[in-house]
Amino acid sequence: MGIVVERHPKCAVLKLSGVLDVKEARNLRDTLKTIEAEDVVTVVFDMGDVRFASSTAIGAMVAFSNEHQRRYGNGSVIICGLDKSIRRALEVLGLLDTFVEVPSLSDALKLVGDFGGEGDGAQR
Amino acid sequence: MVLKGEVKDVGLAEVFQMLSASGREGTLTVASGQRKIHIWFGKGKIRLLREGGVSHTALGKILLRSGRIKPEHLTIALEEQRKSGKLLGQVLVERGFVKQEDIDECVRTQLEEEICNVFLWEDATFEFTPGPPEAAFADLALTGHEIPFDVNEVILDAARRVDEWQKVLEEIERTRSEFEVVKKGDVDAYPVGFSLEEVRQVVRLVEEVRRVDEIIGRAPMSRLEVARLLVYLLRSGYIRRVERKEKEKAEEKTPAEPADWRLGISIVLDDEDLKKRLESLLWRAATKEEAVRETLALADSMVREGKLDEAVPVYRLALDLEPDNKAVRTKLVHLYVLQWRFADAAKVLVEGYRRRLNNI
Repeated sequence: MGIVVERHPKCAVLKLSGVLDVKEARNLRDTLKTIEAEDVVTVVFDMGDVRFASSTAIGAMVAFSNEHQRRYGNGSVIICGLDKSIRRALEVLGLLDTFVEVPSLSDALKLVGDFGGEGDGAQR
Repeated sequence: MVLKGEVKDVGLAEVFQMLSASGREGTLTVASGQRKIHIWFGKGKIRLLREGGVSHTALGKILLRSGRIKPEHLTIALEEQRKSGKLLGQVLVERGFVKQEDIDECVRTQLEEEICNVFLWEDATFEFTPGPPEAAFADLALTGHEIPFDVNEVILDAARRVDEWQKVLEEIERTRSEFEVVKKGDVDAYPVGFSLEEVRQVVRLVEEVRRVDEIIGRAPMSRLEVARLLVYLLRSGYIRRVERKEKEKAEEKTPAEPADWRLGISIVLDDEDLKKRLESLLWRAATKEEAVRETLALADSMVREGKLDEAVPVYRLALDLEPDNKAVRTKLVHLYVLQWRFADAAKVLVEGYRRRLNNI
């Protein structure tokens, strides 16, 4: 369960995992504020290990994505590794187009043109 | 101590969650009329208990239907089961026809299907008896094996099945629809997973009783299975829907709307600003349709801003205004799930399903 930020040369990857409940949503919001303060153009939400995402966590991601895309343009927030049920919820609520969706993290990095970089793996 | 009550007062989803949270071992019996189901809650496990030594052909059927075994494998295993007295699943695994994971998945499917049906029972009562299963259920050969149990997962899966039910119902329209057999003679094909005899039984019932709810009530299969077969027969042209007579249609009057559609709509909210906003929206709207439109537009825009939690009461209001709006119901269900309010999600789903049943 947690949020790990990996800083790659061309993007920041938020590796989310476990259950993103209300408490984790608060941590996520704080992390997103930090990222917002940096000059990161592309942000990738890696949802590959998320078992459950609460409405509060998704709300935080959506609000961040709206704001980030206003600053850096469409396509600056990517989401990958979506679990079927979370994807379905986003689809039903009309939120899928809030992000650029790709199947996996490697697809996301390819899209950004980011082939190197280990990331610093800062864990919250 | 025995815990008992009526499902309409407590709600089955709540009962499940309560039992799961308490971690108590015991048997939950849910009954509605002649129907009765016993579910044993263990530590993190759940098991369906059966009365009267019901055979486990249901497991075989599910395995067949999902294509995990061949009919000849089932015949061999059933024969061996009869001789050895072992569990059907055990025989199938020992013979190498299936893996234990396949059995677990099928038992889970069976459990979900039965629990889903229980969620749809009306006027049901429940009773929880603590302790190990009663002697009548002690024989594992009759009661099947346990599966790991996550209460929220089971409720959600049951809710998904209700959802599937709704889709099938869309195809057959209403449960009081009537059908008649068009192609005389025997059916020569049947969908994968069903036997020819099962299809024949349903065709016979269409000939005898015609009405969907009666066919479902009499067929020796689960409601979803019968509905699926009816859809198949309908699509294949074996049966057709009987047009209801004009006279009957004329009798089918929709109940008059209250003089003011705002009557009976109450907005209970802690957020005073949002409450005022919604009240003003209701009073500004000239018609109910306009109120629904405006409420939905507000809820959708809140979601798109990331205010998912705040949007929940707004969708709830839209659904109160227009209870048959499936899109709103679906959104509300998903939001409840995202809020971890599984009981509310199941309630909204079942409420929608019941409306469809009664929507004549």
